[in-house]
Amino acid sequence: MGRRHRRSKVTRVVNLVKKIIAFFFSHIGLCALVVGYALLGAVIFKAVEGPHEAEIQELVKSAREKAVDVVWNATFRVNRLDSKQWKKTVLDEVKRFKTVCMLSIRKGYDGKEYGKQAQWTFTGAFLYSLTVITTIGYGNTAAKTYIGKTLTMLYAIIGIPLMLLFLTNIGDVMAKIFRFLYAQSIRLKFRLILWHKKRKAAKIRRANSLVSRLTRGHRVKADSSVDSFGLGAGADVEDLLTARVEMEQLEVRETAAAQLESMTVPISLVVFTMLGYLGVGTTIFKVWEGWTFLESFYFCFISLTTIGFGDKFPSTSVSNTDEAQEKLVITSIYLLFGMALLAMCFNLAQEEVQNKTRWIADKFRSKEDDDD
Amino acid sequence: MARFLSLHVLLIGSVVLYIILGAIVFQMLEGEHLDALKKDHMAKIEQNAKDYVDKLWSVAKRDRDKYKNVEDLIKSVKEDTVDDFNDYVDTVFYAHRAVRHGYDEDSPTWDFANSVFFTTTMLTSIGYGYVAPSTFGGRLFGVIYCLIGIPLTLVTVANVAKFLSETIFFLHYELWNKCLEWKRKRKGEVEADPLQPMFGDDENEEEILDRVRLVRFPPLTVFFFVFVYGCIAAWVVRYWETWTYVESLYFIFISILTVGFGDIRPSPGNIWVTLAFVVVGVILTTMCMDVVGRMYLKEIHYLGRKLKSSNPFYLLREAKARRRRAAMASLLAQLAKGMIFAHKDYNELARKKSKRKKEKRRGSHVLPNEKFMFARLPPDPPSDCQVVSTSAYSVRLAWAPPFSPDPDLTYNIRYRLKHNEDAKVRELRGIKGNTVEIMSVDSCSLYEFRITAHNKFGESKAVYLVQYTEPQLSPQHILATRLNANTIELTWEPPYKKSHEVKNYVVYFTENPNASLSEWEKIPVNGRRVVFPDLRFDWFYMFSATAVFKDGQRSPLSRALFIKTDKIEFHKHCVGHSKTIDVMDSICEKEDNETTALLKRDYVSFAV
Repeated sequence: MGRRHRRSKVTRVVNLVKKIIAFFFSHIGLCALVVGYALLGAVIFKAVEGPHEAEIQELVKSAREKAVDVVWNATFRVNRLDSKQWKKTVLDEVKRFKTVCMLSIRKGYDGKEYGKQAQWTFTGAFLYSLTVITTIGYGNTAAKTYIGKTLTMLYAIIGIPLMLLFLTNIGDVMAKIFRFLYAQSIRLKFRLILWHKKRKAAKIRRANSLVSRLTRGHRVKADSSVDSFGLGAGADVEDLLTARVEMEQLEVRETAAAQLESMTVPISLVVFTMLGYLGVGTTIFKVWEGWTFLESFYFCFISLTTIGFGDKFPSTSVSNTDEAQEKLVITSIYLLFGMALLAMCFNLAQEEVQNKTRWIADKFRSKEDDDD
Repeated sequence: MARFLSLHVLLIGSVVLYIILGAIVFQMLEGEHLDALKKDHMAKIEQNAKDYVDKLWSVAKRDRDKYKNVEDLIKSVKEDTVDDFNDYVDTVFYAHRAVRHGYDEDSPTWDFANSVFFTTTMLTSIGYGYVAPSTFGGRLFGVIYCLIGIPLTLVTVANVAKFLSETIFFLHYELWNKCLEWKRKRKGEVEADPLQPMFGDDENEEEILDRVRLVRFPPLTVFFFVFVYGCIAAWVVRYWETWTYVESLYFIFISILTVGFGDIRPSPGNIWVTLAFVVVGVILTTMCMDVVGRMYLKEIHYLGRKLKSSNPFYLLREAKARRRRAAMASLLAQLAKGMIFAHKDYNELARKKSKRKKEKRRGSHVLPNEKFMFARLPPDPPSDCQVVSTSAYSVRLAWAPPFSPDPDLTYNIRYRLKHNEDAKVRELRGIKGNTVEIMSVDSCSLYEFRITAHNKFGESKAVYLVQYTEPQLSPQHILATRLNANTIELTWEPPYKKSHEVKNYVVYFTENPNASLSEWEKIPVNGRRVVFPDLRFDWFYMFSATAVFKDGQRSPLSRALFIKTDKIEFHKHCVGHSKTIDVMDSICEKEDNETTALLKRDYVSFAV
């Protein structure tokens, strides 16, 4: 009795571990793992880099206070009514402040007041994590502290293979779905063509019946030799037309069967899908940021090819806080889905290129045989 | 050789030429615009500074008479000019964002080195953004340039990475071979015959697996290699910069993994060295992902899919065996294809390294595929398996030997009670010969037997037999033998229990399968043998036996035997003989008349 209980307990634990591992290596588990990893990165980087950002903002604020105080102290020491000298002194102080400001921008200052808006919010950190594991790397937001840089390295080394695994998996699944939809569209197309052919055949059959009826009506009054000749001609024409229509239907069915058997999506459709997705992104960013068409397309292209210069980036203007956060979230979703779509297109295009290469190789082989 | 290298050289040359052309075009498009952009932003900053100062002066002058206290005046002026100050800061910020790293003493420009750096990092999708296209023409050309260049670069990097992985694999294999030779010399063994195949026929499977595990490319070595490369590159690049080691390490890893933030920038004198290290690092990372991904992605999928089945312990053993088979298969496939040695480059490398061992190496280049694959197959399952006889506590099994490439065949038998799901499975291993008697089974029970043939290369499929065991008091090991086509002999052994003495036996038999037991015929038998002659040909008979004890009681019936007699036999003297000849002779003699010819007629002519 004790043995059975112990065995069932061990079996239960083993089954539980089995189910967990199976779930995490399935598709849904991989998606959850990637999103969870990005969220974890967001939490960590916000905790590490947030205080540093506050420190930098405080530095800039104190520098500003110091600059203004020096100006006023200088003003009241020198003759207060001499505007030229006063302006010169103030300009020197403002330029010195500019140097401090530039240096702070290098260290992570983003030109915003402390407390009003921060760069390392949760959504900002999430987008940063996403750009690390997808190897886009804009660089507008970047780790500045010692711990932040070390964590970024570790995060990238673990996250990038995980992202590659996710993209491979999701690319396969989406390629299958796309192929299935394409096959369905082919079947629908050929069903329409067949329906059209059948309707044409029905029309021809109706016309033939009319002709035969007229011939039969004409038969009563005319000569017998003329009747037999006309009737024979009509019958021959009927048979020819009917045979031709049936041959066309058979040809259409064979074409559909051949295309469904090969089951490869053409490259033009893949390229069109990708350009469509880029077009959607271009429209969104154009409406949001006021960029030109080429600038928006340029940003989407540079992002989805994971180059990520960072010269164009959404929500750079000092605008509403909630709107900026919303834009960051939508940008993250756009990038993640765009990566998966790109992996899908790559899979389909790779398959098509392999088929073309095999066809070319066969042609070369046959050519060599002919030469031999 | 020429063909093999020309492909690599052609690809690398194409990419280098493409990069240089792109660099020149970007330099033409963007060179002047960057300077103009920088001047424009500096002018904006100056203008905004002046505006801020003017605002300060005007507000201070206007409000000077309102406030008697100086501190109140300052506070008021500050509050009024916050917006202007924010505009000034935003202008500085935009300037920095538009031209990043653009205001240093050694700020980057679009000279040739920076252009090449830019195009190379763009095509490898690192994308620092130190300089970035900002004109319409520059951006449009950038998009088209990437559409053509990125696939070309990916193909070239993958090609070089594959070449590197093959080279490292070859070196690893040679090193392992040297270690083996050194071990043999240390043990004092005689040198192996060069013509001998790599895997001897009498070798143990575990030794083969150890070699496979050694020859197989370990993933930790690949990761460690890339990691060490990153550390060394960081140390070298740091030599010319003012970075700390962590910053240099950060820069190298962010570059090698193609993230490319661009927050840290190498100095102009260090661009070429940095570019070389980054490109080689990207190639190594691609090689690492290729090797590890090829080896382990399938295993991950296999784990995820296979874990859904039940019986985890059997699953683990099955997974281990499958991985072992896959490892052996992959190794043999690689060796059979001659992937390592068939390349001319490797042949020349081998010849250069050891010219003295030319003849030895040639003998063991490519293993013969057919012989190799054929000789290492598991055997066929045993055929004609049957239960010869059963008793209360033992079962006798027999089978015919199967085909096997290796003559050393042994058999494994597993058996268990069939009706009990939790029954313990017992196993007999290493059985030689074609018969076995399994002892210590339960009486009056249904058993299932699983027989497999086993040689050193694997185990065959199983053959299953199911049979009942006898009661204890019944006659044991009843055996029916066909002495003739229609003659059957029954033999048996006495019951196990000795407390009751057996007086005689009664044998029940019938030729009607549908008859009930009361309709069967009975024959009392005094010994332990009985012969049934003159049975019907080609017919089924059922036999059963029981023991009669001296106190008048009877034992339970034994298990019924089904025996089929053979078909009727033909006597030899009947073949080819017919009586019609005698009839013809008598008819012919009666017709002797005057008109009949004097010679006897031929029967053929008579028939006509």
